[in-house]
Amino acid sequence: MTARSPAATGDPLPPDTVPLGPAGSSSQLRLMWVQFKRHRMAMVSAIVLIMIYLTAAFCEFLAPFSPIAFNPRYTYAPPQQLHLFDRDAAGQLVFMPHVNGYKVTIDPVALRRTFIVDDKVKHPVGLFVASEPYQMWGLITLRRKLIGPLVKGDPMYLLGADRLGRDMLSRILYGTRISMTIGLIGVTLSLVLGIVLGGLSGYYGGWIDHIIQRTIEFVLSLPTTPLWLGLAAAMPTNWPPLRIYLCITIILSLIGWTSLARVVRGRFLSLRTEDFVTAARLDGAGESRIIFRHMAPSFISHIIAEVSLAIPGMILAETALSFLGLGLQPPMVSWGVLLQEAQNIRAIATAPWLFAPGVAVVIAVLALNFVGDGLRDAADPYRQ
Amino acid sequence: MTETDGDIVLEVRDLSTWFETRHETVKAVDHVSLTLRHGRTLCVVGESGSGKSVTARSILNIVPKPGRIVTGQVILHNSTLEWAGGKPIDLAALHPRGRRIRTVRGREIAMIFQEPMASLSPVHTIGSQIVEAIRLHRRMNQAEARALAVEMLDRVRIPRPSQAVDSYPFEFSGGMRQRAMTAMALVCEPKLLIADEPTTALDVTTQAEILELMKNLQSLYGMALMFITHDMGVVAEIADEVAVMHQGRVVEHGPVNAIFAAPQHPYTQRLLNSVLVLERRSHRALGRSLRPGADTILDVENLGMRFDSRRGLFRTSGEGAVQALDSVAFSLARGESLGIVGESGSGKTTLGRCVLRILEPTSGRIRFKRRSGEPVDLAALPAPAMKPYWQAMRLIFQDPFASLNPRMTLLQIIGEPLRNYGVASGSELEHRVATLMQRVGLSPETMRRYPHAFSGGQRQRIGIARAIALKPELIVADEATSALDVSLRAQILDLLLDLGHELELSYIIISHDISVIRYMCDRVAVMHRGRIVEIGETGSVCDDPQHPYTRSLISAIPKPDPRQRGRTGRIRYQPNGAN
Repeated sequence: MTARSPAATGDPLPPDTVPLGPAGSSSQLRLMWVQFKRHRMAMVSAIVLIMIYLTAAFCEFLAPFSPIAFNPRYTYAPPQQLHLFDRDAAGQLVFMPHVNGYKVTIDPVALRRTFIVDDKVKHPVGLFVASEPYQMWGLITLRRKLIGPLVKGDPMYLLGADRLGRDMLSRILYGTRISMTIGLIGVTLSLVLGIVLGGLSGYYGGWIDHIIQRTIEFVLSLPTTPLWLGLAAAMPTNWPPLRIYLCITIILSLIGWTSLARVVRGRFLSLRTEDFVTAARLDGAGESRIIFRHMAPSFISHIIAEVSLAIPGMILAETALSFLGLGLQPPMVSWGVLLQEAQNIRAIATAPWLFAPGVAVVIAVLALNFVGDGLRDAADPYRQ
Repeated sequence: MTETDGDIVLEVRDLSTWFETRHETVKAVDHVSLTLRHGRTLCVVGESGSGKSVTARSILNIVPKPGRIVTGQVILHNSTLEWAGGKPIDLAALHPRGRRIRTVRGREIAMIFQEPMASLSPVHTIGSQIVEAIRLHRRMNQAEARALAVEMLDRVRIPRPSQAVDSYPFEFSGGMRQRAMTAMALVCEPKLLIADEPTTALDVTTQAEILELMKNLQSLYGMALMFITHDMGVVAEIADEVAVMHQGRVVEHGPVNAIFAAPQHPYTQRLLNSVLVLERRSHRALGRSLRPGADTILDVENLGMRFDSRRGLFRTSGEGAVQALDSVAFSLARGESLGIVGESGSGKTTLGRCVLRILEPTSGRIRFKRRSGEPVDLAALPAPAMKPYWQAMRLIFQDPFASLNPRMTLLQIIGEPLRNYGVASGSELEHRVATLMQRVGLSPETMRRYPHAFSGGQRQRIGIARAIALKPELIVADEATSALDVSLRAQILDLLLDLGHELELSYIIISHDISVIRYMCDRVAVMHRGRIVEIGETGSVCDDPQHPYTRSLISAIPKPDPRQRGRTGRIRYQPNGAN
């Protein structure tokens, strides 16, 4: 794959040789990248997506608190604003990040607690603050967090608190890991199934194609939501959370492989009749060489694009299942689990910030869709 | 210049249409001026990418994005439109999507496109589409419009017009569709008809019919005709005046006889020369005589190929089977080139693919004799046993774009057969590919480039290099030059002829274009509906055809000489029991 540029030598060129542009020696990857860069939304979304996955990888360090740390004093505490500057004694503006404290009043009639921001009380906030020891990836013990209150025990709820006074921001950051990876693992599984079955179906045709296509039609005819519900309900509740997580991904990919298999089959069918594949046969190429060396490079890019469009479906399915209480269960934290908190009227009325995980879902799904769109446009740089 | 005689229908003055993208500006039409006169035909001729279609679209102000008319005027004289008040109109100055230009399109200027199927709606009947065109521009009720539609279909000589008016486009053949399009274009009796390669997608016999129809309609209606084509034969047949376009500019402009007899511009001379070269047998082929006592390399007997309709789980079979080849027999001597000519659907491509066993023939024998060895019946071999024979018999494809894998470099493409047959690898492979590239006229430095960097002619050279890599004995060339501009055709054919000498190759040249076959083949077989109707020496078949179908085919080919116009009569072939 070295991009060796041909040196101009004194050889006479044939009469109809045109000077080749710089595109002449670029590989497919280079052309795809140039094409992808032209898609503005996809570029922005790709950056957002990278940030989301970095969050998923380093959520323990990024989250100010543990997702299960609770504080009954701050039940349904509203989001605080992060102030960066403060006035010192002389009235000068100085850099001192802080959040204001809360004043809690209790309505004597309704016994409802209301939080009022107290300008007088300032809780200083810092970067790389000391914290309770925690395990990074379950391996390394760390004692510092990216951001947190300088004084241990000070309240800092940048996205508010939930029913038990747990920090929503920390929980959303932790939820990123489960929600974003469930899509990846599920799609990987569907991809393997889809490529193998779709490839067999498209390349060999005939009765193999018949059987696989009828199977796909059967799977697609099953009503998905009741099927998920049934399978999820069949899982014993006393299973460890990790096993439930794996089972959920398997359930999701059992449905998801069908569309990928159809895409792969369609690609195979259309490529099989291409002249260059016939040419490869006449050039004496064997079956596996035709498939992997001649055909695969022409559709692998399409499949990558298709996959990036399939991940949002998985994320949404997990969110929906967990929201209904049939997917992941607490104490696991995923965006769907978090949204369970937003099921009742009271939450909507008094604590709208409980919808924040929904916003996270929307951002992630939109970003994936745009990136998928961009990839699909870039997948075939030669058809321009 | 501004003084106009009453004859002038439309004047294009200094027209420039540019396509501006972020990186570059393509001057598709560059300061073009044309004059179209009442009752006269102007042929705009040029190779692909010369800007002839964009000129036509600029006249109607339907330039596709990101194209834009930059300068110039398109003056329509003597329009009958009320809003113009009898004054000349500058079409280029009108808003492209405005109401005024819409009254011009179809009413004053009509256009026919290359692909009739794409310009007719498949879900409406021919009649309803013509009626719609009529009622858009004329005050007529439904019944009157329908009567006019039937009359128009009759004018364009569609048989049984009162029934044809209710048929759908898919029920029509390609030629009938183009007739229907012409009928639709002429309903409002436009002053100018623009025909953009209307016969390119058609067979030569159908093309001859359409050209004749256009001439008759022009004398009937007296409209100006702007005829866009790349085929000098068609130009000689139909033009009064010719404008030769090259890279967006009109390089030469004049009466047809003057252009053909004494072309002034070097490009015109080159273009005409490349057409005339193909009018006779190549001197390279003439100098080549068969070795006396040459053995027979290929002997095909009773070859039959039937495409059965797809049989499925719930489908009944038996209907819709097509007999693509019907007891085809020929033999080919070593070093000989045999041309196979026929119209689309005659089975010539199927024949080529059956000989190579890419398709499985349903019956017959294909005896192939390698230089060292006994004749082997390829049709009887099991499919995996074909691999060694594909080393000795190779295929050159029609489409130079689809037949090269876009994801592989030239080194990989040309080296693929060498590698797969274990002939060479590593630096030896590179060396061999370099030699092959040099032989076909490509610079070996470009071997690490991808095919998309090469032009059509260069790509066909890549395909040839791949075909000769294994030093084959027989090459089947399936329409190897029909995707190329005419100026490149002779170059590629000459290359094939030279290689034939060098490697003692036998050729089967499949083409719809008889000039290609006359240029390089020793013998020719004429195919019609899956059968070889005539086979013989190229010269005798072309000059003195025996079978009535061959006669009709030869007589339909437009001669690139305007002086011969009307001298040769058209012969129509009506086989028994067929339409």
